[in-house]
Amino acid sequence: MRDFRIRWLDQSSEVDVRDLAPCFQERVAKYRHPFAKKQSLAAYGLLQEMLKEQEIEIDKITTFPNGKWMINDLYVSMTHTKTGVAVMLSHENDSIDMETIRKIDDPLIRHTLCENEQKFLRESHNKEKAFTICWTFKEAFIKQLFQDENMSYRSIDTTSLFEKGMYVCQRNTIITVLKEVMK
Amino acid sequence: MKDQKKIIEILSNYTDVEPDQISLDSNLVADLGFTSLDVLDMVSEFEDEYNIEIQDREIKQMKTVRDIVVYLTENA
Repeated sequence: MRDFRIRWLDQSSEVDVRDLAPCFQERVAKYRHPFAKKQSLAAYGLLQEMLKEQEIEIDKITTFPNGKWMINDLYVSMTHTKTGVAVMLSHENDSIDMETIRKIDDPLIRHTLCENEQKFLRESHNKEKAFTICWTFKEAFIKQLFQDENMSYRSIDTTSLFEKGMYVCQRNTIITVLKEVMK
Repeated sequence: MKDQKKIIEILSNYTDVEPDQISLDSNLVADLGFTSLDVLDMVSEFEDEYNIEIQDREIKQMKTVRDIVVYLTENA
């Protein structure tokens, strides 16, 4: 099984926290910032819907040291940005990330991207979009790790990961799905 | 401590929370709504401002405004 869904925040109705499973309510409660809470509610609401559709009962939640988690034998990957949220459920260690395309500057590029990625940006007609593609692949890759590896962002060359994933661009937002890399 | 007011001023460019509502105990994600890219963007600005290089493993330890202020006080 590999299922992922995207929900745009301007098209979704507010999720009532009381409608969520208690284990999801706990996670949403960590957010106090109103928009972060709204994103979190939308993401856990979407996850709950997906589980219901697949008729999956939550028997066991496994959480790894870096926060990565599983429901039963399914890997859970969640992401949110200003425009929307996305959730992926998979029997493999696949992952999803989304980010709104935004203005970027040289210090951020230097801090975040390796040489190959910076070359990818230089050759691109849209630097901001190219940066966001690299960033979402980076985040998706990090989500596949089981513990905090203390990796620097620059040490992950996402240009070598492009063939393992795919991205779409909608509503000025990049959504990247990355198949399990380290099989 | 480094100039807290200046640090919070820079930090407030990355959140919609008003500077006077930001305290040392504010959590970047839970209280201020930062994403991981917001954090990196802000750190890059601090790197430029204070002419330092902050390692990603140190950035991951920065959960609150206090963590940033303490780090910059000790390292910038």
